[in-house]
Amino acid sequence: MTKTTYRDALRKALLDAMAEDENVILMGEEVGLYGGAYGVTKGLLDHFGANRVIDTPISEPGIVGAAIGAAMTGLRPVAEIMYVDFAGMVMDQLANQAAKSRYMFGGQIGVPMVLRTQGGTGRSAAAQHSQSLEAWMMHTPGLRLAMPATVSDAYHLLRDAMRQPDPVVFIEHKGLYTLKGEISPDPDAPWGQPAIRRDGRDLTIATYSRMLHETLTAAAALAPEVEVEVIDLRCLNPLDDTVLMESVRRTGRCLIVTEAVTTGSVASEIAARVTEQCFDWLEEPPLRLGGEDIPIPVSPALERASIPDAMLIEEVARWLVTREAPSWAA
Amino acid sequence: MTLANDAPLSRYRTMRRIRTFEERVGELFLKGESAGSMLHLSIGEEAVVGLTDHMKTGDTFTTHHRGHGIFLARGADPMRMLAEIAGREAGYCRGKGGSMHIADRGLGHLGANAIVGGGIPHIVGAGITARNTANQAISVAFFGDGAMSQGILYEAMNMAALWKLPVVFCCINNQYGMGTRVDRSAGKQAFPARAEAFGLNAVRADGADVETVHNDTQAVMEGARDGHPGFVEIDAYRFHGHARMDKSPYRTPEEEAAGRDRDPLIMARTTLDDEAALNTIDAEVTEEMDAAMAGAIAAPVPATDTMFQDVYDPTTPAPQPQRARLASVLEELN
Amino acid sequence: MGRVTLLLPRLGETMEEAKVTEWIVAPGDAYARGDVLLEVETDKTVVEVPALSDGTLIKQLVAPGDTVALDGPIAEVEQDGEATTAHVEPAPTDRSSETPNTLKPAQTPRLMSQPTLGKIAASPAARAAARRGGVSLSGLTGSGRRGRITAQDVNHGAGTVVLLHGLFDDSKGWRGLPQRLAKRSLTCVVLDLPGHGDDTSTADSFDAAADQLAKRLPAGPLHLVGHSLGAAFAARLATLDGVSPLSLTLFAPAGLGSAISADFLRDMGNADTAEALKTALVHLDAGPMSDAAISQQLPRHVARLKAKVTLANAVAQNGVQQIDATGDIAAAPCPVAVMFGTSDRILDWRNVAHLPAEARIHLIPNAGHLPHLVRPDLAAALIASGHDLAQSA
Repeated sequence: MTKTTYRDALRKALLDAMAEDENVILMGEEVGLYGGAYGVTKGLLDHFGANRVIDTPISEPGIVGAAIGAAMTGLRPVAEIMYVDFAGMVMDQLANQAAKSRYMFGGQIGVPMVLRTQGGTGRSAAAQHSQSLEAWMMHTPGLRLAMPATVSDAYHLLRDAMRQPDPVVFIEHKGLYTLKGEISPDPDAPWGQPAIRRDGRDLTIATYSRMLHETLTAAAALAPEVEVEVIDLRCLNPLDDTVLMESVRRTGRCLIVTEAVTTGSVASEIAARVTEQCFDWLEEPPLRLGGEDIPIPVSPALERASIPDAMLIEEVARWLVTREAPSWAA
Repeated sequence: MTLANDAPLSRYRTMRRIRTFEERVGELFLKGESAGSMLHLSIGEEAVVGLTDHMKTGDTFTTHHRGHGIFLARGADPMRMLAEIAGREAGYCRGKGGSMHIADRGLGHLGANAIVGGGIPHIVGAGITARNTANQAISVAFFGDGAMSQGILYEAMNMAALWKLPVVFCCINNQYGMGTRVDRSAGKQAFPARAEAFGLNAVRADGADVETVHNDTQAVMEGARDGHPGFVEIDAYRFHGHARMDKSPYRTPEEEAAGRDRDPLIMARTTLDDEAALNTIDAEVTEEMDAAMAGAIAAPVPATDTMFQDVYDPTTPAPQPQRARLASVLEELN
Repeated sequence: MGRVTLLLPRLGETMEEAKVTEWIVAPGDAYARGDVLLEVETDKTVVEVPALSDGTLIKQLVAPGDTVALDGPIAEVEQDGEATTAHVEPAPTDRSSETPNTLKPAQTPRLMSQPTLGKIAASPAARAAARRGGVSLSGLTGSGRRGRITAQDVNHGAGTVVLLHGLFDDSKGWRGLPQRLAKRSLTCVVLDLPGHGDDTSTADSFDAAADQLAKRLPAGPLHLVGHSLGAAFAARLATLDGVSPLSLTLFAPAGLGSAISADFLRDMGNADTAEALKTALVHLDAGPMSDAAISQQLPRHVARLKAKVTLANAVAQNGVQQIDATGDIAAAPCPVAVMFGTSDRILDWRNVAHLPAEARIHLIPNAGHLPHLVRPDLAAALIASGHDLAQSA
């Protein structure tokens, strides 16, 4: 099998889906002629023409609203919002329209659309272009939310997202587009379910998106002293926590690692669920390790320091399991 | 399609059905049978029938929170509408949406919307579908003068013009966004000019006369079907308050009297000048709406567990009821 | 200091009542937290009832031989500070201080006598383990963060020992081992193989018998112990999902090699008289047995003898074992200790060479097929140390 990048895996998913189904259309700012702000849709305009690869004005609510109408009337639109930070612009269309149509209308009108976007830190893009806003999407019943961490998931999760009968918010990570890997013939886990990326008996770390890679690096450094089970959540809404809870019941300890601001986060939700569902198995409280509760600063030094990295994950995991405190704890 | 010479009478009947229906909605509330009091009546705006008569089977539309009349004009069953407004299982949305979120995919109704301007961009997507699948359908967004202040309208009109989509933006200007008269919310009230600036065919029609509306909107509606998106402003007056409970203290009695003089039903009766036929229609409509209301009130309320249905498609597990979650945590495991 | 009525605490998961066997503390004697107040016999074994706080025994409310229901009163005591399993009946002088008219509003004697369980630092997992095992958290020393009691701390003082006997044997065959384990505060459950002892079922295969035994395993942390064929079953049970034992201790285990004494199996299967049974038992090298003991054993032996032979035929034919336990032993997720007599005439001790390298092997010179009866204290220590190892693993 040949290696490809996260970006090319996404493009291949779009290409394959559009070749299979002429109802699949792309729309968004710079998706056509420019090829996508991060190059994901490069070449698709030539392949499928302007009726199916639609360059839009800079009208984020309009893009999502139009995608909703297209989805309601039979197309399978994949709308792109260049940065997840622009969710601030589109939340009415996303949360009040797309997410609620099926329910408000008594099950008559589904909105089978995908909203592709990307988030996260790593490029000094500062406070309005670096956020991790998945908690907003998780807090909205009716939305589905997928966040691929691997090249194979970039392909398979996007293909699966385009098959969903309900709106899917698909958040890529700007720091992963050049990640290299293989697209496995089958998905690592069924749509909606987490994948266990590493087995371990001492501690369960739940994570997703780019933090998976930091976590795996930390887990490798911790072994064999501390054997960490690493769970890639993949799909956050609806959250299927069965695999995670089984793991925590084996290990008795749970750390949740995310890049998002910690307060009111996905990590908070998971910590609450672990507390409720695994109480009798816990040796320690479930612990959140996330981004600092601050806007993302532009200075690379500040930006790096504001989110967890492999070293911090390793230190906290060791502290939690062996009680060996890191140097900064004194 | 109604024969041309019967059409004015037919439009009168539709307008009378809307008027009587909305009166029954008010009664439904007074009887304590409506789901809540967020009931926005379209009495005074019935001349929209002049525009909807240009629509065909297969066309789609979105409406705002004051859209009962539009949906009736597009063929809705008043019993199922009233049942929905009353929160009954027999309603169009099984009692989940109510007055402000009524929809019926089969009749092309893509949804009433309680966010001002929320449903407007959806017709752009429906227009893309029409273009890409060549289904000959047009899509119409209905909204009030309040939405003329929402940015999403201008995004949508721009995209429609840019891509030459078969869509029409229809503003029913009833002079009030809740309690704010339009001259207190718009620096300049030349709404069609705004649309023209985007490149849309635009027209303003007198909502006191349904036949005028019908005639004046014909070109815009036919143009849309040919890929020239349009904009229509129907000039009307909201006879009642914003919602059922609103007594409109912000309006003078003189203004209200003048507004209600522009009654499209009275205008139609005068024009048609056939008292016997019109009275027969009125009696038939009264009977129809009384029966609809009785049917809606008699309809059963939904079972509580249906609240967990339709958050996602039926193949996805329904959300876990809170009681089940709490029980899984707190139940003694013996 | 307050007068308190002690109630009989839950000392085992299935316990509903207990018989008092002996009072350790006499009326008028002072005792310290952790001291044994009395011993009672539950449905499983004899257990000690420890004091949960310092105090003085005023009156014994039950006598040896009495049966007491769970939560029934057992003694009146005077104790300092806070009681744990006690239900409090404050003395009249204390009661006056509870009235709203008291001049000492800061004093809340009722609160002082509230159970302290909530104040003990223990992880949720430790609390669950204590609940399952019928263990009190007070008196345990926490090894976790900030002295928190962990599930391991609880299991260290708990863990039910499951004893699985061999072919043609029954629960009586363990002789004094359960009592020795009880002294080490380990609760025992003795399981009978299909068709053996009180068990009335028949199993025609090793797997079927193992399935039956699995259903009868008690809940909570376990030490699995088996002798001969019972050792092979113990190893199988150790590998099952959800069992995850603390330790696995095997006496003269079957299933390590192929050879087995066909004479022993044949003689046992045919023994329907006291004489024949006596002859057959010689193979075990159990030492001399009185005629009275033999005649006591005979009715137990011949009862459901056909079922016993069915199981014997399933696991051995013509002197060749039909089972292999080495895979299960290697897969056991816990420390393994094995004891073998080097004079065993039924199974060959040299097959211990097939055990995994991690297993602890104890060879007993001059012992036959019942090494755990030759060295009972070592056997008990092995089971206990087995779970010590579980803590350090």
